[in-house]
Amino acid sequence: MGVPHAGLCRNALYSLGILAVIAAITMGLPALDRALPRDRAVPLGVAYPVTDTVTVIPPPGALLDVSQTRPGRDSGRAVFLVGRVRFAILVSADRLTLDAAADRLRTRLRDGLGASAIATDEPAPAGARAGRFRAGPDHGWYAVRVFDATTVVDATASGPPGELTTVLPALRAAAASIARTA
Amino acid sequence: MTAPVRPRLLAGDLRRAVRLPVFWLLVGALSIGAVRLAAMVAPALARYPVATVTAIVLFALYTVPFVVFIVNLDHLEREPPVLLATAFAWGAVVVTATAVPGNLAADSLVAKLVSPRFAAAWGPALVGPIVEEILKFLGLAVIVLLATAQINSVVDGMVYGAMIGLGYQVVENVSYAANAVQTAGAGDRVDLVFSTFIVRGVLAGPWSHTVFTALAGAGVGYAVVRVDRSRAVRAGVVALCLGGAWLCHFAWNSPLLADGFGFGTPGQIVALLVKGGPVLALALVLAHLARRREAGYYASLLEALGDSRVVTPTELRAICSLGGQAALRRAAYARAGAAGERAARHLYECQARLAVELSRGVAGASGPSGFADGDRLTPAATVRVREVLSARHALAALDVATPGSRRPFAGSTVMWLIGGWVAVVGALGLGLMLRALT
Repeated sequence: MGVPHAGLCRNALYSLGILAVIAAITMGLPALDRALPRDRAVPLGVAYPVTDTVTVIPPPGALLDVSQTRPGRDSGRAVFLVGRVRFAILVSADRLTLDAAADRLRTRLRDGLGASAIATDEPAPAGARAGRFRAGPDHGWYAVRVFDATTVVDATASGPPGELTTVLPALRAAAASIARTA
Repeated sequence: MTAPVRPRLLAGDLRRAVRLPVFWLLVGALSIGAVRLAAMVAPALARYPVATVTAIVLFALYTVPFVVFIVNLDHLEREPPVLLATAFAWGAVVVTATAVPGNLAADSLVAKLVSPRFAAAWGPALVGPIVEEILKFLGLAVIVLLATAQINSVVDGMVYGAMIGLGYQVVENVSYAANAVQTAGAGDRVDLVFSTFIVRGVLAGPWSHTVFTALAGAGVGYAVVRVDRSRAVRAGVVALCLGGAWLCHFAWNSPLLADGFGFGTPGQIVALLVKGGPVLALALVLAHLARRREAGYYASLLEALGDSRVVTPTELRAICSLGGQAALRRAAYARAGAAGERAARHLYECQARLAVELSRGVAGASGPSGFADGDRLTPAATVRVREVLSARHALAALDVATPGSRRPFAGSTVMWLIGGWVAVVGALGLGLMLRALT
């Protein structure tokens, strides 16, 4: 039993319509997203709320990456761009010791970013752990803090080695500014 | 009476499908989707092989009672397995592969156009339903374009919609389990897979994508079947059902009641029931009403034969009532044991096949009688009548041969499967609540 020509044309037309919608979702939306700027300026020296209770003072010259930043109530994340260096703060409501939280972050870096040569000997203030890593051509730095044994804050930075070295003091200061309000 | 079902002739369906452009669209979408899905799963499989395989196996088993329930929604006219599998594959492969980039981009757009805080709270409620419900709806459109003949009733639309939603739901849950393992940063652990299974499979599963897309499918079924209504009315019903699916999905993903009424985990479980329960109830009521209407139509065709050897008044009433045929099977079991129950089941299946064949005669007939020319049965319907008579003789013979066999009715495999699933789900849910309370 054949298919009438008109039926075939209608079927082709509807099929093209379906294809167009799929293309609009898989290619159109990402293209539209890329067309809009993702970075926003943040006021210098003003604390940015990553969650309702955890804040960070962004490094000077940092831009907020709104496409990646998702502040929340108990957990959230903020991503800043300092030149080509990506500085991310991730807050989670987890009951972990500082050592366990540091182990978790190192595993995430290894599994998620493919980080290697993860070092744990970075100087860090009391109540924090810090270290360095490599992820492909980029170098990275991380720090972990735990507040009241209930809130874990991971800070990671990655970018070209030269640029990272230049901005690292500012990033360390920003990480040290992470505070938890009651 | 307006027919609630609209069967078509089936001859040459497969050969016809291959010639349709939509068939090649489907082949292309499934192929590309499969490659992209493999690329998504491969890293998790490489890093956490035990956890990922456990998730795949666990959610594959989880699928079984859903499929059994969905397939049995339309017990009078079962859908072809190949089309059901196609619907499932569209949800599992095409929707998953396309929703991921779409959701990410749309969520980012919400953050850019409104604010990151708004996107964090309302992004999943706005983005997920828009992107995912549209993609799942496209699957229904593909099924309609591929095999319109198989969409004979509103129930059929719900069945295909539910299969598409189930496919997506299962693969999405596997990805959530893999993400949970990665986020935990504690290596290849299966306990996180089980907790994801409880939360997303058990607590959230019964009123998730399967139900949302079944609602959208009801609209598609209506639009295909009710050709007596204007295009505007049918388009309106489709829009209403798709909008309903979107709204249910939106409410489910929204942060409303996320705090569990301030009672922690037990409150959050109650909130899940409050959000999901009405959606499931709505879908089940809709399916029941559509099925009853469909059964009434088929019963009227059988009744028009006027032959009590083919169908008795009691059997006609049983076709139209919820659990009517199960009661008759129980009676057959009481009279002649398991063989009697099987014979009764076979008789009712033969009657259903005859009714569907008669309705095809209606669809193909030019006259108002409902049957082919001059109230004569079509050759195919005649064959079905013979099957019914043969099945009735077999049942009658058993009634005589084994009059003393009386045991309590054990129920059907379907009922055992669903009952077992409910028991397991209930136990897991109860365990989770106890764990949260202690």
